[in-house]
Amino acid sequence: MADDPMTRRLGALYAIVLRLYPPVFRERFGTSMRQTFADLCRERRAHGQGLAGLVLCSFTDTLFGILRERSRTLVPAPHELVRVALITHVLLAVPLFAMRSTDEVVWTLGDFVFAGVVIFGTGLGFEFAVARARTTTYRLATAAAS
Amino acid sequence: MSTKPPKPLTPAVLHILLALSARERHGYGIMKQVEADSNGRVNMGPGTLYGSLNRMMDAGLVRETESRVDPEMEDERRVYYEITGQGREALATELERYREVVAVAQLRDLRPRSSHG
Repeated sequence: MADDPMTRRLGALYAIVLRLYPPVFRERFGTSMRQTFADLCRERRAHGQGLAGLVLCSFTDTLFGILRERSRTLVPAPHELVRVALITHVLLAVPLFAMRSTDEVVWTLGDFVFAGVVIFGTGLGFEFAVARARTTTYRLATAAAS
Repeated sequence: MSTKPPKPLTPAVLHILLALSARERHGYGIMKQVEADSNGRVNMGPGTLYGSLNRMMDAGLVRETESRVDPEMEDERRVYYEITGQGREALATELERYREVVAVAQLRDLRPRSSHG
Protein backbone atom coordinates (compact mmCIF):
# COMPACT_ATOMS: atom_id res chain seq x y z
CA MET A 1 0.00 0.00 0.00
CA ALA A 2 1.46 3.38 -1.03
CA ASP A 3 1.68 6.04 1.68
CA ASP A 4 0.20 9.50 1.21
CA PRO A 5 2.67 12.41 0.75
CA MET A 6 2.21 13.69 4.32
CA THR A 7 3.03 10.26 5.82
CA ARG A 8 6.11 10.03 3.59
CA ARG A 9 7.28 13.52 4.59
CA LEU A 10 6.78 12.79 8.29
CA GLY A 11 8.62 9.49 7.87
CA ALA A 12 11.56 11.34 6.32
CA LEU A 13 11.54 13.87 9.17
CA TYR A 14 11.41 11.04 11.73
CA ALA A 15 14.41 9.39 10.03
CA ILE A 16 16.36 12.65 10.50
CA VAL A 17 15.48 12.70 14.22
CA LEU A 18 16.66 9.08 14.53
CA ARG A 19 20.13 10.18 13.41
CA LEU A 20 20.54 11.75 16.87
CA TYR A 21 20.66 8.28 18.46
CA PRO A 22 24.12 6.80 19.17
CA PRO A 23 25.32 4.93 16.04
CA VAL A 24 25.22 1.47 17.65
CA PHE A 25 21.60 1.96 18.73
CA ARG A 26 20.67 3.34 15.29
CA GLU A 27 22.24 0.35 13.56
CA ARG A 28 20.26 -1.98 15.77
CA PHE A 29 16.82 -0.33 15.74
CA GLY A 30 16.78 2.52 13.19
CA THR A 31 14.97 0.62 10.43
CA SER A 32 12.48 -0.97 12.83
CA MET A 33 11.72 2.41 14.42
CA ARG A 34 11.04 3.98 11.03
CA GLN A 35 8.74 1.07 10.12
CA THR A 36 6.91 1.33 13.44
CA PHE A 37 6.39 5.08 13.04
CA ALA A 38 5.06 4.52 9.49
CA ASP A 39 2.74 1.78 10.82
CA LEU A 40 1.35 4.18 13.43
CA CYS A 41 0.78 6.86 10.76
CA ARG A 42 -1.02 4.35 8.49
CA GLU A 43 -3.17 3.19 11.40
CA ARG A 44 -4.27 6.77 12.12
CA ARG A 45 -4.98 7.41 8.45
CA ALA A 46 -6.98 4.17 8.18
CA HIS A 47 -9.18 5.37 11.06
CA GLY A 48 -9.58 8.79 9.43
CA GLN A 49 -7.63 10.51 12.22
CA GLY A 50 -5.15 13.37 11.94
CA LEU A 51 -1.45 12.90 12.55
CA ALA A 52 -0.72 15.94 14.75
CA GLY A 53 -1.21 14.15 18.08
CA LEU A 54 0.77 11.10 16.96
CA VAL A 55 3.64 13.26 15.69
CA LEU A 56 3.77 15.26 18.93
CA CYS A 57 3.73 12.13 21.13
CA SER A 58 6.11 10.04 18.99
CA PHE A 59 8.66 12.79 18.48
CA THR A 60 8.64 13.78 22.16
CA ASP A 61 8.94 10.13 23.24
CA THR A 62 11.76 9.57 20.74
CA LEU A 63 13.65 12.70 21.84
CA PHE A 64 13.49 11.50 25.45
CA GLY A 65 14.71 8.11 24.23
CA ILE A 66 17.65 9.79 22.49
CA LEU A 67 18.55 11.65 25.72
CA ARG A 68 18.37 8.36 27.66
CA GLU A 69 20.59 6.50 25.19
CA ARG A 70 23.06 9.39 24.92
CA SER A 71 23.35 9.66 28.71
CA ARG A 72 23.86 5.89 28.85
CA THR A 73 26.91 6.15 26.60
CA LEU A 74 28.32 9.22 28.40
CA VAL A 75 28.07 8.00 32.01
CA PRO A 76 30.92 5.57 32.79
CA ALA A 77 29.96 2.09 33.90
CA PRO A 78 30.54 1.19 37.59
CA HIS A 79 33.46 -1.15 36.72
CA GLU A 80 35.15 1.71 34.81
CA LEU A 81 34.77 4.05 37.80
CA VAL A 82 36.24 1.38 40.12
CA ARG A 83 39.16 0.80 37.74
CA VAL A 84 39.97 4.54 37.55
CA ALA A 85 39.64 4.91 41.34
CA LEU A 86 42.00 1.95 41.91
CA ILE A 87 44.61 3.37 39.53
CA THR A 88 44.31 6.77 41.24
CA HIS A 89 44.93 5.14 44.65
CA VAL A 90 47.95 3.21 43.36
CA LEU A 91 49.49 6.34 41.81
CA LEU A 92 48.88 8.39 44.97
CA ALA A 93 50.56 5.68 47.03
CA VAL A 94 53.85 6.41 45.25
CA PRO A 95 54.44 9.89 46.82
CA LEU A 96 53.01 8.61 50.12
CA PHE A 97 55.65 5.86 50.35
CA ALA A 98 58.33 8.26 49.07
CA MET A 99 57.51 10.66 51.94
CA ARG A 100 58.03 7.81 54.43
CA SER A 101 61.41 6.86 53.01
CA THR A 102 62.96 10.26 52.18
CA ASP A 103 62.71 13.88 53.32
CA GLU A 104 62.97 15.17 49.75
CA VAL A 105 59.33 14.48 48.99
CA VAL A 106 56.96 16.65 51.00
CA TRP A 107 53.34 16.61 49.93
CA THR A 108 50.57 18.38 51.81
CA LEU A 109 46.99 17.14 51.99
CA GLY A 110 46.13 19.74 49.34
CA ASP A 111 48.75 18.26 46.98
CA PHE A 112 47.22 14.80 47.36
CA VAL A 113 43.70 16.12 46.75
CA PHE A 114 44.86 18.11 43.69
CA ALA A 115 46.80 15.13 42.26
CA GLY A 116 43.87 12.82 42.99
CA VAL A 117 41.42 15.06 41.15
CA VAL A 118 43.79 15.42 38.16
CA ILE A 119 44.54 11.67 37.92
CA PHE A 120 40.90 10.63 38.42
CA GLY A 121 39.70 13.21 35.87
CA THR A 122 42.32 12.14 33.33
CA GLY A 123 41.40 8.50 33.86
CA LEU A 124 37.70 9.20 33.25
CA GLY A 125 38.62 11.17 30.13
CA PHE A 126 40.69 8.22 28.94
CA GLU A 127 37.84 5.76 29.54
CA PHE A 128 35.47 8.04 27.63
CA ALA A 129 37.96 8.39 24.73
CA VAL A 130 38.41 4.60 24.57
CA ALA A 131 34.63 4.10 24.50
CA ARG A 132 34.33 6.68 21.70
CA ALA A 133 37.16 5.01 19.81
CA ARG A 134 35.32 1.70 20.01
CA THR A 135 32.25 3.38 18.53
CA THR A 136 34.30 5.03 15.78
CA THR A 137 36.00 1.71 14.98
CA TYR A 138 32.59 0.07 14.87
CA ARG A 139 31.32 2.79 12.53
CA LEU A 140 34.37 2.49 10.28
CA ALA A 141 34.07 -1.30 10.22
CA THR A 142 30.37 -1.04 9.36
CA ALA A 143 31.09 1.50 6.62
CA ALA A 144 33.85 -0.73 5.20
CA ALA A 145 31.60 -3.80 5.26
CA SER A 146 28.73 -2.06 3.42
CA MET B 1 24.24 -16.32 52.40
CA SER B 2 20.87 -15.11 51.06
CA THR B 3 20.71 -13.97 47.45
CA LYS B 4 19.57 -10.44 46.71
CA PRO B 5 16.00 -10.38 45.33
CA PRO B 6 15.80 -9.14 41.73
CA LYS B 7 14.80 -5.52 41.19
CA PRO B 8 11.16 -4.95 40.20
CA LEU B 9 10.67 -4.59 36.45
CA THR B 10 9.67 -1.23 34.99
CA PRO B 11 6.06 -1.07 33.69
CA ALA B 12 7.35 -0.90 30.09
CA VAL B 13 9.50 -4.02 30.50
CA LEU B 14 6.69 -5.91 32.22
CA HIS B 15 4.22 -5.08 29.43
CA ILE B 16 6.70 -6.03 26.70
CA LEU B 17 7.42 -9.38 28.37
CA LEU B 18 3.68 -10.00 28.71
CA ALA B 19 3.15 -9.13 25.05
CA LEU B 20 5.88 -11.55 23.99
CA SER B 21 4.86 -14.34 26.37
CA ALA B 22 2.39 -15.90 23.89
CA ARG B 23 4.40 -15.55 20.68
CA GLU B 24 7.12 -13.55 18.95
CA ARG B 25 6.16 -10.14 17.57
CA HIS B 26 7.67 -7.20 15.71
CA GLY B 27 7.80 -3.68 17.24
CA TYR B 28 4.41 -2.49 16.03
CA GLY B 29 2.90 -5.86 17.03
CA ILE B 30 4.29 -5.43 20.56
CA MET B 31 2.79 -1.92 20.77
CA LYS B 32 -0.64 -3.15 19.69
CA GLN B 33 -0.53 -6.11 22.09
CA VAL B 34 0.48 -3.86 25.01
CA GLU B 35 -2.41 -1.55 24.15
CA ALA B 36 -4.82 -4.51 24.04
CA ASP B 37 -3.47 -6.09 27.26
CA SER B 38 -3.88 -2.79 29.14
CA ASN B 39 -7.32 -1.98 27.67
CA GLY B 40 -5.81 1.02 25.90
CA ARG B 41 -4.34 2.50 29.10
CA VAL B 42 -0.70 1.99 28.09
CA ASN B 43 0.38 3.62 24.84
CA MET B 44 4.07 3.08 24.33
CA GLY B 45 5.93 5.38 21.93
CA PRO B 46 8.71 4.10 19.64
CA GLY B 47 11.44 5.69 21.83
CA THR B 48 10.21 3.91 24.96
CA LEU B 49 9.62 0.60 23.16
CA TYR B 50 12.97 0.32 21.40
CA GLY B 51 14.92 1.80 24.34
CA SER B 52 13.38 -0.88 26.55
CA LEU B 53 14.04 -3.61 23.96
CA ASN B 54 17.68 -2.50 23.79
CA ARG B 55 18.13 -2.84 27.56
CA MET B 56 16.15 -6.09 27.62
CA MET B 57 18.33 -7.59 24.88
CA ASP B 58 21.45 -6.54 26.80
CA ALA B 59 20.00 -8.20 29.92
CA GLY B 60 19.14 -11.39 27.99
CA LEU B 61 15.37 -11.07 28.55
CA VAL B 62 14.46 -10.95 24.84
CA ARG B 63 16.25 -11.65 21.58
CA GLU B 64 15.83 -10.94 17.91
CA THR B 65 14.60 -13.92 15.95
CA GLU B 66 14.47 -13.29 12.24
CA SER B 67 13.57 -10.62 9.75
CA ARG B 68 10.51 -11.51 7.68
CA VAL B 69 7.37 -10.06 6.12
CA ASP B 70 4.29 -9.91 8.36
CA PRO B 71 1.55 -11.74 6.38
CA GLU B 72 -1.07 -9.35 7.79
CA MET B 73 0.82 -6.25 6.67
CA GLU B 74 2.44 -7.54 3.48
CA ASP B 75 5.04 -4.84 3.00
CA GLU B 76 8.65 -4.70 4.23
CA ARG B 77 10.54 -7.34 6.17
CA ARG B 78 10.41 -6.76 9.91
CA VAL B 79 12.59 -7.84 12.80
CA TYR B 80 10.76 -10.10 15.25
CA TYR B 81 11.52 -10.37 18.97
CA GLU B 82 10.93 -13.31 21.29
CA ILE B 83 11.12 -13.81 25.04
CA THR B 84 14.05 -15.90 26.36
CA GLY B 85 14.08 -18.39 29.22
CA GLN B 86 15.58 -15.69 31.42
CA GLY B 87 12.79 -13.33 30.33
CA ARG B 88 10.13 -15.89 31.29
CA GLU B 89 11.80 -16.31 34.67
CA ALA B 90 11.87 -12.52 35.23
CA LEU B 91 8.19 -12.29 34.23
CA ALA B 92 7.21 -15.12 36.60
CA THR B 93 9.15 -13.50 39.47
CA GLU B 94 7.49 -10.13 38.82
CA LEU B 95 4.00 -11.65 38.65
CA GLU B 96 4.68 -13.46 41.93
CA ARG B 97 5.71 -10.12 43.46
CA TYR B 98 2.43 -8.60 42.22
CA ARG B 99 0.48 -11.54 43.71
CA GLU B 100 2.16 -10.91 47.07
CA VAL B 101 1.28 -7.20 46.91
CA VAL B 102 -2.35 -8.02 46.11
CA ALA B 103 -2.42 -10.54 48.98
CA VAL B 104 -1.23 -7.85 51.41
CA ALA B 105 -3.83 -5.42 50.05
CA GLN B 106 -6.59 -8.04 50.50
CA LEU B 107 -5.38 -8.77 54.01
CA ARG B 108 -5.86 -5.08 54.83
CA ASP B 109 -9.23 -5.06 53.11
CA LEU B 110 -8.02 -2.56 50.51
CA ARG B 111 -9.96 -2.63 47.28
CA PRO B 112 -9.78 -0.70 44.04
CA ARG B 113 -11.96 2.43 44.09
CA SER B 114 -14.32 1.04 41.46
CA SER B 115 -15.30 -1.94 43.68
CA HIS B 116 -16.31 0.22 46.66
CA GLY B 117 -19.62 0.83 44.95
